[in-house]
Amino acid sequence: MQLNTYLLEGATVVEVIGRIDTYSEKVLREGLLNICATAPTNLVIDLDGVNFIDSSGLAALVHGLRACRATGGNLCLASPQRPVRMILELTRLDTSIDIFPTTAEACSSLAQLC
Amino acid sequence: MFRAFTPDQRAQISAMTKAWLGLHGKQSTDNLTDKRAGDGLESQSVLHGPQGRARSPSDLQKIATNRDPLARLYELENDLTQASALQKTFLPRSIPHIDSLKLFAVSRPAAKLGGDYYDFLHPDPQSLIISVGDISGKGLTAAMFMPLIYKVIRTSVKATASPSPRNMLAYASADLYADFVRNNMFATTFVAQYDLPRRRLRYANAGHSPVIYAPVGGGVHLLEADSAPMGVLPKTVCANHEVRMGPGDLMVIGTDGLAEARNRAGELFSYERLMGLIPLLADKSAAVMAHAIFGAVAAFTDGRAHDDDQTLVILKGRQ
Repeated sequence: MQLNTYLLEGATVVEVIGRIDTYSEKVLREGLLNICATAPTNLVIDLDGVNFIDSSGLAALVHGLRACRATGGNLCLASPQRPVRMILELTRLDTSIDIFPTTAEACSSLAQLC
Repeated sequence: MFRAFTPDQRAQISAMTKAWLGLHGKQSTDNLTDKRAGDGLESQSVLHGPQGRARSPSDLQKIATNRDPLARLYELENDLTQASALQKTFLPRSIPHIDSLKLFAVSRPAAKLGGDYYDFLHPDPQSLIISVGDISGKGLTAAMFMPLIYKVIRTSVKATASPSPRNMLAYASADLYADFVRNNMFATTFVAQYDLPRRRLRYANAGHSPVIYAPVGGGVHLLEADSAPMGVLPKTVCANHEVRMGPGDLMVIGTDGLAEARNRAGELFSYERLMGLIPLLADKSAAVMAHAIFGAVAAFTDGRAHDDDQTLVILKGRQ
């Protein structure tokens, strides 16, 4: 799994490429925590390059969500592929984490909240 | 919502079902709740010598007292084996006999320890409570959480003034939230309460799937969750829903290790394939159905060891 990070409209975008599973979730989780070390943090996780996520990966996203909100910011997801989106819907995590079709829309939404 | 199987796939499932029956026999399909697949690695553990033969107790004792790396490995394996045995005691030792409902359940962890659980409670002659859960992650970490959830769900039956699936989940979620957060975990959980005289099943679903409901003549439906898993939010707010469990009506409660099993090409077994199996097996007993589903997944993955826990609880209305 790869992580690429950049700034867009005041939000930090984390582009994830590969699988988010029990073997790679620690990298994602620690990466998100490092970003959230400076408050407040708005975070967009770009899932366009993610072809699989398991419960460990979902737990990493939830952890990131909590860390962001603890800083006074928020976390969104963007561009999930169909299998990932289905997992988010089946687990109803889509009711707890905002999901946007594109990274740009996600960043705009977070910017409007500031 | 799901694709029909091709004739070749149907033939494969039929052959596999027959193979399972041929290997295990009808008798062995009863009371399998205390039988769980091993991880298949016993012959490679420190408990065995170079040729795969089990080491004698005296050899193992020598290894342990030498305090070399092999000794440490032996201790760890021994701890895991004992922990696995302990975890099995938290699963039902037998399946309740209900006149109007046939039950079957089996859980197969991916390793010695797993993060899936299921439970049956018969708090009074009029009701049966069924709970199935899947703790995020797998292995030792998830397994350590499993007894907490199973115990708190059980406690919720007595602790809530009017125990319903929704209230039980709300109680368990509130009780465990701090533990979930501290450990960066969550648990998808399905709780059902079967009313024996009315033959109605009331349920609440916190992020759990798959839960497949197939009433006689009513198609095959994926019962969706209406709340995120326990541990995601401070409060888990689900609704109670109700379905009938008349003669032949079917409910299949699984964990995601089934749909997420992968073949050599990396393709997922998928919810579509899982739901496609149900009409093919609807006239079979709950036990045969469970074995056929596991068999279909095993055939799809070409017999490779599964890398996530797999659990099936099947409810079928009796005539």
